[in-house]
Amino acid sequence: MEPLDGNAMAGVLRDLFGRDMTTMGYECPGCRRTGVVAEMAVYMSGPGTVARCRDCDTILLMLTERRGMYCIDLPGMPQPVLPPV
Amino acid sequence: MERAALLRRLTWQTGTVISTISETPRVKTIVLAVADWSGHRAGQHIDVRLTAPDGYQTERSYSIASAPEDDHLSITVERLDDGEVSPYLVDELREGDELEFRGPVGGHFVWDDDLGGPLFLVAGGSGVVPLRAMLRHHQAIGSKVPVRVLCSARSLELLIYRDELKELAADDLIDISITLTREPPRSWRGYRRRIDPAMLSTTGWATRKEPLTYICGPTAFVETAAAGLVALGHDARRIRTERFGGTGV
Repeated sequence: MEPLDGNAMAGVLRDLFGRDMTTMGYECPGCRRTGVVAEMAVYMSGPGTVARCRDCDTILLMLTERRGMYCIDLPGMPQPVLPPV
Repeated sequence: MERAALLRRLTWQTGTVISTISETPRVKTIVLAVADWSGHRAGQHIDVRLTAPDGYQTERSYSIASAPEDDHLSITVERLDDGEVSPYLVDELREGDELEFRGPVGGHFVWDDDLGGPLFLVAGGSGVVPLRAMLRHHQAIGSKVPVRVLCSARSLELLIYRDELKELAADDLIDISITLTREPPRSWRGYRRRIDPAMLSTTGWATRKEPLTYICGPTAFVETAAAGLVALGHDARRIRTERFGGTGV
């Protein structure tokens, strides 16, 4: 399965954070590449969503849902700066 | 606290199908009447949710095909044979049916006049959908930004919005190139191959024009187009991309 990109997570992230998150910046902890969430390589065919660095494959974001409860890890955003609402 | 947090969430809403338009044998545009539509920006998408009788739910994202200025919200959907959602939307959905969705969403792959240009829009297959919204918006607001478009499709029959693209090409500011990768008609005078740097160079803008580029299509198509433009010397920060899982081009 080829990855999609961060645009595919726009709906669920907008739902969880109350704002568009695809323009939020990140810095890859593996290779220091910087970019915005929309550019991440996103895999959605598994039981959860995994976003990886386009250059070095390091995991940047993980999202799982169970009965309406979401769990999100953001290893690619050690100092998250939320975009304005 | 709990209630305030919930109110801020993006809610699911319902649209009523006003009409469906066959674009190609596998692709339909679904026109929706939506009460209290909040408006959108060209390039955004919505998440469509289907619920089975047993309560099982699944959702997919579809680009908005209409301009913000159009009377109704519409999406254009390509039928994927192994899809969970698109076969229902393309084959089963009828006028008067209701469709559950949330949106609009996405703030990255959008174009407004303020962002300027010149614009280079590169579409593979149904990747033309959000770019069509941008072109309609461009026309609706009378934008003076010059636009070049490169569309790749397998054949003329499978080229989505074929007639509309022809009409748009009559606009002095809009220049449209088309490549047919599988079955070009014998008389076809456009390109007859998959996109490559030479084609991107001929159909797009010189690097010194510093174009703003939007590329949408299946993942492999987008990678080829984006890498080709960067290799030609274009600034990667002026290239916005959107990838989807679909059939090839």
